[in-house]
Amino acid sequence: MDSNHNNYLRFFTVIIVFFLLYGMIILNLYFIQIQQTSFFKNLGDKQYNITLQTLPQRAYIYDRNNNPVAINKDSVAAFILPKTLTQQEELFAFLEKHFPQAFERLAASRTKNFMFIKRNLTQEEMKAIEKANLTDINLLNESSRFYPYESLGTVVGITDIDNNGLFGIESQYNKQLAGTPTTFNLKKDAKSHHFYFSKETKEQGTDGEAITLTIDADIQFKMQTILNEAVERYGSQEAGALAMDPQTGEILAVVSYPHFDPNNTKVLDMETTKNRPITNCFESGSVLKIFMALAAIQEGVTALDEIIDCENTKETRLDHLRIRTIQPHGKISFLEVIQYSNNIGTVKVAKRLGADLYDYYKLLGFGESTGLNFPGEQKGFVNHPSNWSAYSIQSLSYGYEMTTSLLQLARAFSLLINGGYLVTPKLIQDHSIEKIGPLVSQKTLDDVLTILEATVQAGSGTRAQIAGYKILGKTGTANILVNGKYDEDRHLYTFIGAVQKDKYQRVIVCYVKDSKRATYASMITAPLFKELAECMILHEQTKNMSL
Amino acid sequence: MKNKTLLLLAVCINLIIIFLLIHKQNKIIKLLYENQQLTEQKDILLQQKKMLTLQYHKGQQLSSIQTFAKNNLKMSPIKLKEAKTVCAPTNAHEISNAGSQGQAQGRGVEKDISVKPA
Repeated sequence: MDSNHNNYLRFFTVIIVFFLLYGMIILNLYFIQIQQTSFFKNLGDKQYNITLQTLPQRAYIYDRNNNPVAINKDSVAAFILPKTLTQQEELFAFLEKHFPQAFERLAASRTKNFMFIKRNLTQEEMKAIEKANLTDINLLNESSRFYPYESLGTVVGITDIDNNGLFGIESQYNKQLAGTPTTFNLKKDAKSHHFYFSKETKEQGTDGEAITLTIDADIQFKMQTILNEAVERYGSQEAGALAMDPQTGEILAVVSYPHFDPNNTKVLDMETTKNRPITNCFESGSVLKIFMALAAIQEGVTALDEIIDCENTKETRLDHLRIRTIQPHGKISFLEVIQYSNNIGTVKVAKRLGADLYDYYKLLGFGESTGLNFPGEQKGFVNHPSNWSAYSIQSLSYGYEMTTSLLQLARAFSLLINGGYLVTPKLIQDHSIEKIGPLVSQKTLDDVLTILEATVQAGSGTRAQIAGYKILGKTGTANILVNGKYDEDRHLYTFIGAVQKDKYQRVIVCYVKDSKRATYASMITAPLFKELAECMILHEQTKNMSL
Repeated sequence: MKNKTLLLLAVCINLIIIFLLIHKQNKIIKLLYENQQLTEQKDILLQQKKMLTLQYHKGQQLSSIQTFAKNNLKMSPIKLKEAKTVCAPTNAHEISNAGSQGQAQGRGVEKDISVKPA
């Protein structure tokens, strides 16, 4: 009886134990499979499904002849995983010697999961890492930019360490060039390493879209060389030049001094990154007289053959206000007033225009955006008649109390060459032409062109002449404003001009700030214009010539 | 006996299906692996192409070409007034003229660049 009871008890106990064990397993399964489904599903998915994002290659930038001016190159970055270091002592010693900055960063926070030692490694740094042969240091290939044309730095700009545009075209068209990343879902197990079982596209990205500039990289290089030589020759601080097709508004070259090497940006002086012809505005002096003349002729307040009394003096007073000019002239025609850049005659005519002069300057695009939308582009300034002092009309007539960029001058000058149309300048080739006009009559244009031709033939621009080509132009020498006062010893020399032959037309504008050698634009920027125009003709005409 | 044969047949068919499925999956994974290897090779080749392109464009840099031309080849920039070109004759009459002129002058027909329209 006892034995049976014991057997039952034992059997019952075993059953209970098994029941409890199975119960625990079932309970556990319930928790895992039902109550914590999403948690374990996510955990499994994380191990099994990998999301991978790939960035498309940044698109190239080309010049007008399809020469690439911004291409991609691989750069290498070195990184460590501080939490999982295996050779700490060796690594610390290596970093202290070769990468002291990374050593300091690592010493400051050793609990990071990930840390870049350095990105964009140099050849020497790569060799040092290879020589050290430390397993804790990992290498990562990254894409960066290379710019074959150094002279295009201020136009194309550069990208930052993450390959995003910093300034210039790279910044303006960053989205278009960068494209969008593609996201993939990979299925793999923990031991498959790089290998995956399936690959699905989760989100399709788009490739970057290439950009073609209107710039001719060869002309750009040649103009940059000429500008550098001119700056050295005249001992100047800064200079700029711009060449444009007056019919289409396409900018063929735009150069600045100082400039920078876009492939060597370790130490970058921001002053050198400025595209001065577009982003710098200045009082450009007598070059503005040609636009005053255009307004005066269009308004009918003067004619080319009207005799103006320039009082045969270098200095006089008009309405008790002092006016000075470079050379004394007596009674000369209005054409000669502009041709010889006489300030006294210019002011006398400008007074007849009054506030209309402001309207004409605005009409010609001064003090307004050109529509180029280049990063950092300056609008300039024209003093509004409501702010005018007694001096304002005379100042405005020869280019003071207003600031203009070289681009604005080129745009306004193009109007004289292309039949009176104000074109929108372009740096990107899209075969469209945006222009408004004609803003002035053909008779006015003919008269102004006569003045410009005379200026180069026998006026201040004679040093700009090129045999076999029709050259039109105007010089400008302006005093520079220093601490609220015009410095008599510091000048800004400008030349705006055009070269023409049959259908070939190019507008070229240039400026040089300060010179140790000469005092007038006729001695500095007129010959500079000639050099620039000759290089342009030589390049373009020989290229187009069918042998 | 009949039941046993049917059962054996069903088991065999199932085994064959399982084998085919495994074989198919195996084949897919193998091809996928080959595909990945080829993609890796393609990436390496693309990287090499990129490096060669970079080297090509580095070699094409105008500043280094100019320095080489000036220093090593003793070349100097051409001026517009110095530029002349030999125009190719376009018809038979010009060819005969060009030939006689060329023979007489010992050179081709020269034309000043400045009078050539764009």
